[in-house]
Amino acid sequence: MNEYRYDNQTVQGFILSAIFWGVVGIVIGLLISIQLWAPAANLAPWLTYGRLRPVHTNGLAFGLGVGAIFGLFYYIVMRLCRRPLVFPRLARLHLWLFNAIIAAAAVSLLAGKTQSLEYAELEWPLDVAIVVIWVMFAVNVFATVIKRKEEQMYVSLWYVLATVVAVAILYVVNNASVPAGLWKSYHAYAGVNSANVQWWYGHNAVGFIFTTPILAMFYYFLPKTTGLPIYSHRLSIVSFWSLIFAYLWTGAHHLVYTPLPDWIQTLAIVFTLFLIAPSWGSVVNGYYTVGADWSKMRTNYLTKFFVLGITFYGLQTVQGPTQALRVVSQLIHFTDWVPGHVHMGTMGWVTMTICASIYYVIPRIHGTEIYSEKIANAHFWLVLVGQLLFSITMWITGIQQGALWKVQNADGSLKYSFMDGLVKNYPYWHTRTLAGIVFAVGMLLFVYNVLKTIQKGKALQASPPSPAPAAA
Amino acid sequence: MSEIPDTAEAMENEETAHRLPLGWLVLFFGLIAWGVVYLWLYTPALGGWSQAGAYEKAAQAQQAQ
Repeated sequence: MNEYRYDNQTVQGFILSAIFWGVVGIVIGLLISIQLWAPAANLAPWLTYGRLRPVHTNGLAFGLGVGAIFGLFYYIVMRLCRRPLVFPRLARLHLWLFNAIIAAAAVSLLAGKTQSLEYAELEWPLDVAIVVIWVMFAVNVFATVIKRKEEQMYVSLWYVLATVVAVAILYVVNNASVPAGLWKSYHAYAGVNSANVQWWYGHNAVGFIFTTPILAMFYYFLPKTTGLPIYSHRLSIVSFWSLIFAYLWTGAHHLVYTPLPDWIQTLAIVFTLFLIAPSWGSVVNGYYTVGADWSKMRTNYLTKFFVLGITFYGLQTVQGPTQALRVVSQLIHFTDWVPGHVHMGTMGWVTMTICASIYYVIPRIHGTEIYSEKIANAHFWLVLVGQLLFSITMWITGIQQGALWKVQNADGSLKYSFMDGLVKNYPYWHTRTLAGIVFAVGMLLFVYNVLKTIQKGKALQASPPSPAPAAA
Repeated sequence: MSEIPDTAEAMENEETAHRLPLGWLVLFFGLIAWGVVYLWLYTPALGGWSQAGAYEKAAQAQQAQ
């Protein structure tokens, strides 16, 4: 067990960093949700909606999401390869650089430095730094997999490797730009090509940050927590390869009804709809796995996190492809339906699965049990209610917005002004802030529970109890 | 509770390891078939539909009223 101690501390460092950036990102999310209905809450120029919104998205996707991915991937890779990391000190350096970059990223965005590409806002010096730490990460993961002591590769490892490779390619290609000063650059592609590359990247950020790494966690931690082996190895592998094959073609569905050539849009829509199959392969596999013994929902507090997580993944992967269809896109594109969709995925699937994985890992690292299952259960219900309230209100007001925008007078002019639509959003935007508060309270309970568990583990280490703790 | 060891064999259910559910296979191949049809219908060089053409048609229908 001791040979893992240094690496486990690195894993915990990533988890705590992810939690820290998660809290920052959620608080900013609450603030910008208020700014939408209370303009006075905008403090120009640093704390305006326009600057805070990318801090919210980058902070949560890259701070919380990628931070958790780094930590949990190192953990999963070590377990499934049955050996410590090949380069433990490199991983520790990776941890410190990661936090420095996220901090610098937040400051640069607050200062208004942006490439003006969604989810690729960070300017080129930060892009270079991100590529450096990604290479450090990739070297460690690949070296450990190559030098593994377990011959067979479980499906989670395939998802890990796909994430490492795909994110590297996506990030480098879309962030290729021509610098025009230290904090200013121009995209390497122009016009429609720029949009096409940007959304190829943008949608695959969803694919390779919010999907493949979270599936790696799901496939690993679901059997570990429940004691139930995965239903079908073949289904998991067929789903993996078809997901990887299809995902990279789908980005242009963000550009339906634009000057992008019709055939590219149509091809993207076809691949997007096909994605339902591999996505649901994992959903079916998850359900059948727990289906072997549904009493685990009662007897193991973490099972419901994974089951609800994969349920929202299932809903997300039907709703998303549906949105790609031209007839649906022309109603909901550019409306508040879209943040409703995104937050079902991020709050319902990604965060739910990451939290459950952390609940599993932290006690294992310290050879103890979770501080309080009761608090974990309260956390579960609060984030579930908060997320549902958020998504559903946004879907309602999104459809309302889209419908209002389409109404025409007899002469073909638009019936409703911008203000008409805006005013009708207010009750839903108020409700969203309320939903965000409920979700944030749930997440604070999670943070408290994790910190208390670590404290408990440290106390245990200081004065080991007489009976040997359960082997981790 | 006894935990599953970290080996691929132990993590996978042996009895159902090679199963692909029938309903899922129908979904898989159904979506491919749908995709072929949709691709044909909405690609200008194949089925003849185009974004601009659809717009023209809708605008003319509006004018005719």
